[in-house]
Amino acid sequence: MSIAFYLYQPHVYQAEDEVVTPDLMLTRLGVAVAGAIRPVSVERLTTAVVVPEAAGRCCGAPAAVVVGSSEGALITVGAVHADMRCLETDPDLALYAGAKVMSRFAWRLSDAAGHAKRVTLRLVEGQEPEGTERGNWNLSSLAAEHPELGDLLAGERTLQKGELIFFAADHFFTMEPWRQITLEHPDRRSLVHEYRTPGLEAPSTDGGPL
Amino acid sequence: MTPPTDKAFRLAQADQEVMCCAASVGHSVWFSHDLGESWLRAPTPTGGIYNESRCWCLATHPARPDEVWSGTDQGIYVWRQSLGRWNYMPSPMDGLHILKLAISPADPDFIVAGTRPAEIFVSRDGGRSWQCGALPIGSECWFINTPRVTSIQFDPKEPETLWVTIEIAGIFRSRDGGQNWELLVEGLRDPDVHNLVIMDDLGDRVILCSTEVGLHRSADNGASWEFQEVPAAGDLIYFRCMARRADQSGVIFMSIGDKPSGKTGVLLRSRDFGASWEKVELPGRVNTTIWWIFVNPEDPRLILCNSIFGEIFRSTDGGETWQHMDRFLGEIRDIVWQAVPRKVTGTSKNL
Repeated sequence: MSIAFYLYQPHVYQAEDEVVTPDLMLTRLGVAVAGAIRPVSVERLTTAVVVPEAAGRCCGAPAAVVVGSSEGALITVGAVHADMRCLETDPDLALYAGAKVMSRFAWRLSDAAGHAKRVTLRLVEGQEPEGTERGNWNLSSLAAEHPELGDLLAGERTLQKGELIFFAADHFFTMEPWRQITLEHPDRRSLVHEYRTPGLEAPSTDGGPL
Repeated sequence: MTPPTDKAFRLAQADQEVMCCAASVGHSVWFSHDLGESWLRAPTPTGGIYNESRCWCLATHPARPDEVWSGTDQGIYVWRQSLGRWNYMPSPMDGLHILKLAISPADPDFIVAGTRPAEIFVSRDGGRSWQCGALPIGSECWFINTPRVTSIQFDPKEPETLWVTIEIAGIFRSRDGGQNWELLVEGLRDPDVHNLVIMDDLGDRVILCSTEVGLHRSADNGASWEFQEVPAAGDLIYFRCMARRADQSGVIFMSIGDKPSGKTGVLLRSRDFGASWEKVELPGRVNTTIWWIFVNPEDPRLILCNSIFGEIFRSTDGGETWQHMDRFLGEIRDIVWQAVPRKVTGTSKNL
């Protein structure tokens, strides 16, 4: 096992009144884009609700995130941030440059797999608390783009504990200051991750009062 | 069997001092230099640790009497009595709960840490670098959701062999210093395991294992386990800690409670290597399960134990009689004592 890890503390909705909260050490992160799963450092993972990024350089795609776990893989909602300047020319560098945002709420993948055509990934962006829907994708359409997701949904592949893959939608959007990404299930409580993306600010050295 | 009398009691030695330490969940580590009568913590401004830290475990080594190691939820900290302060030690375990630390009796630089989530980290260079042991264990478990390490022991005969108990997963053994592991659960009634006592005195090895549902015994070096009835436990079934008195006698102590955060607990004693057990007379009523029992070969007669809700009991006659310390210290997860040369304690700035 890699000695580098990200400690993920999900709240897994297994049924209406049953939530389990394991702590998972995530050690291998992959991002599925453009027909390939690219490795990315787990240091890029975050569940924060404020994710500063370089204004004008960063773009982001909503994603369904599958996490390996011994009691059954999890699925949650997230976003793949990347540096738009080199997304085409050097996708590894572009992916490394941006955060991989994920929610602390999750379902078991098996609970979503049977409803793949009706489980919907949705992105709303704008100025908090109002936004505009930028797109929606059901799991089946994501699986058509990413065969590995289809295999995971069908139970034909598994992820080891500590492994996770972001299956990004096909559009990287320039980011608005506020984003709401949702995974909607016909029977389950929706998974929602709202976060803000303020621009980076340099430290002040103006000698003002402490 | 009464404890041996041929070894000088360390307390009486002019060149040694006993330093007791208690790991607190919420109050860092408490120190006592009068056998548990009074306790102090390192001050936050100069002590090197936030004094409301959650400290889960302690470890000492007789070759390094100046040091006390603590596993916390903010990383590993090492106390140096000569400096009177904690020093943070960078490790890959930052962010995890470091629940157990064990230092090899044969090599003070060989250190093993156990965490929540359950993983084993091994250092061969005194904590400067660590390798992850990659336990073959699930990432989730029933009831507590996340498996965690409950004890780590070095094999008494094989310096590279490690024994680890994990709730809720079972007993793991590595014969190569933590690189590869085997699961030993054949015959266990419950994989919610807490502690082991390994004995080689009777010809063939005997291992005792305390679990959530009682005591188990192995006569084949852990390959299989048999449930052992303990009538002295009465109605209590939550078997937690065990410690063998640090001498050649067959005296073992074992704690049992109604549950981890329960209302009562008892301490049992065996005088025949765990074959039979009797109830130890403790002063007063124990407020919950006794969580840890500490013995030290530096002096087998001085034994400390604590309930998880902060009661401390002390014996200075090898566990024949016990005193209840006046001070309650909140939630206590571990307790140790270390014989420290007075020339070291005399230079301490703070404690």
